[in-house]
Amino acid sequence: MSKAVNIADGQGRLYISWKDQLTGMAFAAPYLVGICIFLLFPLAMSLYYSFCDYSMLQPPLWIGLDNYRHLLTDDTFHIALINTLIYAAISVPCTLAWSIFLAILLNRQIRSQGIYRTIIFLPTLVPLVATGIIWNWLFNSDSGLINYFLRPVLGLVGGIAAHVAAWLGAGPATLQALHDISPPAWLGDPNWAMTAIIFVSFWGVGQTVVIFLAGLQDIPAELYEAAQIDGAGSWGRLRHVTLPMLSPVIFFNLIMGIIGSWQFFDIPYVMTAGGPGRATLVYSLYLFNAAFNELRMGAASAMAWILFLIILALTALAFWSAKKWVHYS
Amino acid sequence: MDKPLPQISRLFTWLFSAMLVLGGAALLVFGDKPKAYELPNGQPIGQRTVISFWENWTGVEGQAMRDVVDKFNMSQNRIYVNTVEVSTIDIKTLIAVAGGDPPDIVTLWSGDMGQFIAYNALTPLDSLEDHGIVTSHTYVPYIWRLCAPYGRLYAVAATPEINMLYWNKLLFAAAGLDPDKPPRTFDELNEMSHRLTLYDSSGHLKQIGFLPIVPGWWNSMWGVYFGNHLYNYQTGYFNVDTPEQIAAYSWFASFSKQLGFTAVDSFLSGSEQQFDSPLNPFMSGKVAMELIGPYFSNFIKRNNPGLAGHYGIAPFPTSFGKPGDVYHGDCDLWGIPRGAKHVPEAMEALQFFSEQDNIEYLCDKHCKPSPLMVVSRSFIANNPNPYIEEFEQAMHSQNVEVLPPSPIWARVNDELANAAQRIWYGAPVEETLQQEQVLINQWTSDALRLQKLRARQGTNE
Repeated sequence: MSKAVNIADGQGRLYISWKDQLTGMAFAAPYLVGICIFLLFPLAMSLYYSFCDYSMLQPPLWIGLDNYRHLLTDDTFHIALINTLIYAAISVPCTLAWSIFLAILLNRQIRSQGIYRTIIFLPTLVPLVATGIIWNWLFNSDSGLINYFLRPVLGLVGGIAAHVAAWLGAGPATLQALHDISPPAWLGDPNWAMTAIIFVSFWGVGQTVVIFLAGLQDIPAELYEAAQIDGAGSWGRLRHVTLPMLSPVIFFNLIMGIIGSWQFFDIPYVMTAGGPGRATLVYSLYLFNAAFNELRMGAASAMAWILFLIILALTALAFWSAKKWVHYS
Repeated sequence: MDKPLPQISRLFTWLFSAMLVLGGAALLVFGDKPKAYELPNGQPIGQRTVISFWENWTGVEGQAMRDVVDKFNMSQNRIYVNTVEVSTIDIKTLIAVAGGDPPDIVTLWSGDMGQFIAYNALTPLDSLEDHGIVTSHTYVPYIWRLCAPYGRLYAVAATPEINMLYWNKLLFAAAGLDPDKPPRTFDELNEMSHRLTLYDSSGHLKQIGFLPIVPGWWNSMWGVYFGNHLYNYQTGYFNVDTPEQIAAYSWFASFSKQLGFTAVDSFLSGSEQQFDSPLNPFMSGKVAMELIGPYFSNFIKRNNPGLAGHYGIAPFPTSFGKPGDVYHGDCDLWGIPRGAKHVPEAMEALQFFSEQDNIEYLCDKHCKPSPLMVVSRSFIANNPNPYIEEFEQAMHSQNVEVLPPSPIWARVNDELANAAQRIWYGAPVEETLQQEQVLINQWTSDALRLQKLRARQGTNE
């Protein structure tokens, strides 16, 4: 029979015997050792390498702040930063809004509800590389399915617009341009490639939708009943009940979205490799190229630490703003 | 009242445990076993030293290399070469060297040499040179420059390539051009390309005469044909914004301006840039002329036999002289990575691979000319490439430009290819190249400065 070893001193403090402490630490040791070897040590080393010229094949050479200084003047780095910012600024709010919309639809008591939920979740089970290759074909400018459907639609719209323009007295060049309107070369045109990549991010919202769905099911029905009695319509219930009650879940998905968008890598890597003309070169892709194509591990480590600071700052901003719009019941 | 937690039945626990045990036993009995090496005749290798060879070719070319390795393994009873086909071989080899477990022999792309030498990732092959097995007289001049870019031998040659203009005689005839007369100047090339470019009834591109982005592998090297020397071997700096280079990329951009990059993208979207595909634009008759290497003949024969007797090859025009005054050449190389565990055995294997009959066997299977200064009559007579003599003649040219052996070439190549892409999409040529010159100068001076610093501190290895 084991002896009692934890004694409360009557003032809320708990004393744990050294034997229990050791036992606890022994159980936690594999995890702690793992954290030290596989997380803390690499973190410390990458911070050190960020101040070095390091290729893995030669010993690191201390160069102070050079890696950081070079990034300040590196145009490609700026392009990657701006591209990622554009991606994050558009994809995060849009995918959040789209996910909420889908979750609300899927929360309605309709027939075959389970099938619809499965359909929305299914794309997240497809490996991202496969997703990228499939979307490459869908976006193919000549034989892709998207342009196949867009072509007649744009032809019709262009024809109507040309008639209207002719009626308004437009010149022949404008009329010809309206007649010739055609779908874009999505991945072959620097002006459209990022749009296509952002569009693909809508495809994988299944997990976010499931989290929103769980959040929606947690909202007490009495709140909707009370709002209805007070005369709130559908929009009013959405605005004054659903969104405030869902705000902690929105906040969680916002944080995850911000982190995910700055670490976005797989889809541009598979679909465009950062092209055409660096139009889809995102931060993680540039970091990967520096580390594993050019073996500039020092510069890549510096980029990784800057990325960490950016994500930290954006997360802190989100937490600060949360006081104003997140409502915990 | 709370519901009691469901209990796992004893039967389920037993069944689950039995499944785990049975699964483990099945893995032990039927699972993968350590490989026992065998000679091509099925005999065990006995006490031979096993050396690893990382090869970057697969398919027909990979099989040819395996044949040579089999021949080596059967030719003696001390060494066994184990061939492993590896993709992205350059990076994987560098990481293996860094990790202290590299292969004993590796096939490299010539563009890797500068980086590998700068990182001290290759073992110098002095003993091959000292014993007169591979010397500057063994190879045609440009191949020697690739193997020993700074005078010291770091690699030996496998199979070379030298680019030529392929033209489709059927499309030439259909456009009213003389099918036996390829363009000899850039003006002729542009004019012929214009005549060979056709549109369908709805105004979409149906056929293009020449497209510099097909296959698009050497977009950093167009300046060669306009007289630019991209790399200064003395200073280590690059010539990016010279008048020759500006002329080259203005010519390059003129195709995009005339045809429209969106229209070209749409035109190419159903094609494959791969040379081994029936959807390659040249093989499918969508593009009438293409600048590409000798191996292309192999793939034309395989993917469009109907075209086999109806294409020609010619040196690419130059802006400063006649076609053939300059070529762009390349070669696969074999090297021994630093830290390889069986260097003498690897040297012996390289010596065997480099023998004339083995090199000629490989080049024959690749449909390529030989890197050697002297070739046998039978090699020329039996080579499957119908234009082998023209390629052999080009190989011996004194004016073959190769990829720069710069330590930062991977980065510069990526940057220049990207600049070409931006120019293709409408960026101003002169301004873009000037910006690239400043940037690449900065990278070069940084690399040189760090090299000096490392040399002073003795941290080069």
